[in-house]
Amino acid sequence: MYTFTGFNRRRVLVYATSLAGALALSGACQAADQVVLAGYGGSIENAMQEKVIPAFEKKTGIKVSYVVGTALSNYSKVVAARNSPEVDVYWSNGLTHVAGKQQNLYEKLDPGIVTNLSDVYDSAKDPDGIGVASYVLATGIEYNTKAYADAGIAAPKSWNDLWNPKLKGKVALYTFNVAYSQDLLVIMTQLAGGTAKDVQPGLDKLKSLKASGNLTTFSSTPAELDNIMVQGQSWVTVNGSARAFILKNQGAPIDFVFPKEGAGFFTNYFDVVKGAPHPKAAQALVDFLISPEAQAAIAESTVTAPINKKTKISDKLAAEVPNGDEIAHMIQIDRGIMNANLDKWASLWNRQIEGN
Amino acid sequence: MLMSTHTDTTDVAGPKRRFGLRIPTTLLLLLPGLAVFSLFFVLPLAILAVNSFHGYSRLSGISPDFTIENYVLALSDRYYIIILTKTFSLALSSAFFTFLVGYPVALYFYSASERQQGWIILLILSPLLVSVIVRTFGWLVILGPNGLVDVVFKAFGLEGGSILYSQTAVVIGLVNVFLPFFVLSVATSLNAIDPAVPLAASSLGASPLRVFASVVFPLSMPGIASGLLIIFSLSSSSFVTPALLGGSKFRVLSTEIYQDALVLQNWPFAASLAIILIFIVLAVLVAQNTFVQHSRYRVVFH
Repeated sequence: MYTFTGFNRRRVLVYATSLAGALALSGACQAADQVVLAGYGGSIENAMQEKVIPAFEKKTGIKVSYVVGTALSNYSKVVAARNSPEVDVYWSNGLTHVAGKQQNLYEKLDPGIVTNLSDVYDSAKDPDGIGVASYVLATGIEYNTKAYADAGIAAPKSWNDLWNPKLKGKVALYTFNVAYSQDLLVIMTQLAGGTAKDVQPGLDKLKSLKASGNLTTFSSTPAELDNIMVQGQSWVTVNGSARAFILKNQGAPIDFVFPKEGAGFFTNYFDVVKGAPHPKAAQALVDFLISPEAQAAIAESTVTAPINKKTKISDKLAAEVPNGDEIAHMIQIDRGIMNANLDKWASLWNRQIEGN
Repeated sequence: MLMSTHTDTTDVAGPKRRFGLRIPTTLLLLLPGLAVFSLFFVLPLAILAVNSFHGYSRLSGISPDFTIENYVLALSDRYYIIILTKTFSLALSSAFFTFLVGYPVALYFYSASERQQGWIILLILSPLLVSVIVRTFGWLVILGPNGLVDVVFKAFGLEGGSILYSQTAVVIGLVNVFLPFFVLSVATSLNAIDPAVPLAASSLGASPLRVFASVVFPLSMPGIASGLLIIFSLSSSSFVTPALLGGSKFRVLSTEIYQDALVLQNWPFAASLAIILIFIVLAVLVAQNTFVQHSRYRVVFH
């Protein structure tokens, strides 16, 4: 007769006690000073792990765990865990910053802790004091310099240069899932004389770009678009300045243009999550992230404009990021209207621009 | 009734030991599996199903009321019906082409010597060592404009070499990714055939073709059936390959779910699309089962 003797009462008790002990121990470790930052991968992560986070840990003794994701995937985590947040500081993008504010997901910054806020440009501050911009970049035109030279096309200057008849089949755009295309829709609408309340004029403009035969490629990820542009499958696209300059600095035949009608104003934000497990440490981290020291490291690695006035950056970087005059000339995008209408816009874009 | 010749029912210890296991112990042994299964599969699925009947507004988030609006939209709007049709046709065609490409490979494996079989298995499995994303990016370069296929087409003065962002491109990518699963499924079935059976057929005067058509192929049906089903369900829910190779011109349910869940944060609508996808796969499973039960080959499935 087969009998199972693996468990008797004493043994079960021993296992249960040791399990409880282990759980209590891990709980104790969590209580120590630490903070969870949900941010981006790639070159940003490298800069954060190598420079910014070690400097913060040395200065404050607070351990940072850096969760890698995209603005959207991290936002989903913040929304899903809204009743018991795991993330302290969430690195949002312009849209998820507004969407999260709307849904009451973020805490106000504490001016008593975030003292660096006084050195931040006004355009980078949030009107309600919830969160602060992490850097500024531009949505503009990225093009392949070699392909342009070979075809004898002058470098683009204006948004309208995308309609150049020599660019048949050579214009690529992101799908609507990527923020730059959402912004492009608003930019095109404003150029066509409309407002963000009704984006049909912008859709019509993009439809005409497709009808001209120029716009044939839609790319669903930044990595894919980089590939298409560097390989020369497409010659011109609409992208963030940071992405284009990183490619250029790696030696790719890529350059970026701030269109004369104005490039799009693009920011990401540091937001403290409401009900965060380490609220004090979260505020301290945001304060450090917008300090001149951290801003310089973040700006250099991401090729973006710092938001702290006292930040010192190299001349090379200064030439590649929007400066004060250019920022003033940039096209501002009303994220509140965008947030309220994004599903309608996605549906219109899917049916009219990308099509089936 | 078929009876397996390998089970030796006269073994004294055999049946006694098997039935001597007391039920509580059996349950105890099942418990970890059941717990994992219900906690990580049944429960999330139930939450998904409940969620799919909620409403959503971008300004106020998910509303807890009960509504069938999501399903009405997904099943009545022409845009989503086209996407449903495309998903179904993609899964069917990738299952079919995996069969066309994979069956001969499995047959070759079956007829190879034991030493060769080891190498063939290694070759079949080796693509799995490279991530799907990397392989899909490879196809992106090969199938894209000025890619290998396009260049060869142009050398012969032909148009249309750039097949990226089409169903063809996605099917090519999926067949590449899923081939090992199909080959292994069929090879297992083929290897289970008693070598004496095809030999008996030839000794009775059947030509090699006849042996294949009347003996080997029918006996490999269980492997084909499970292989096709695996490929169908994997293809209908695959995301990376359609997203990269289908792009925005070839949209399927999985890429649509991604947009609704992640970009637009409309989890209830995304959940309803996911539930519809599950029902498509279930429907095919049931259809295949029914077909098998009534086909003339049903005997090989027992």
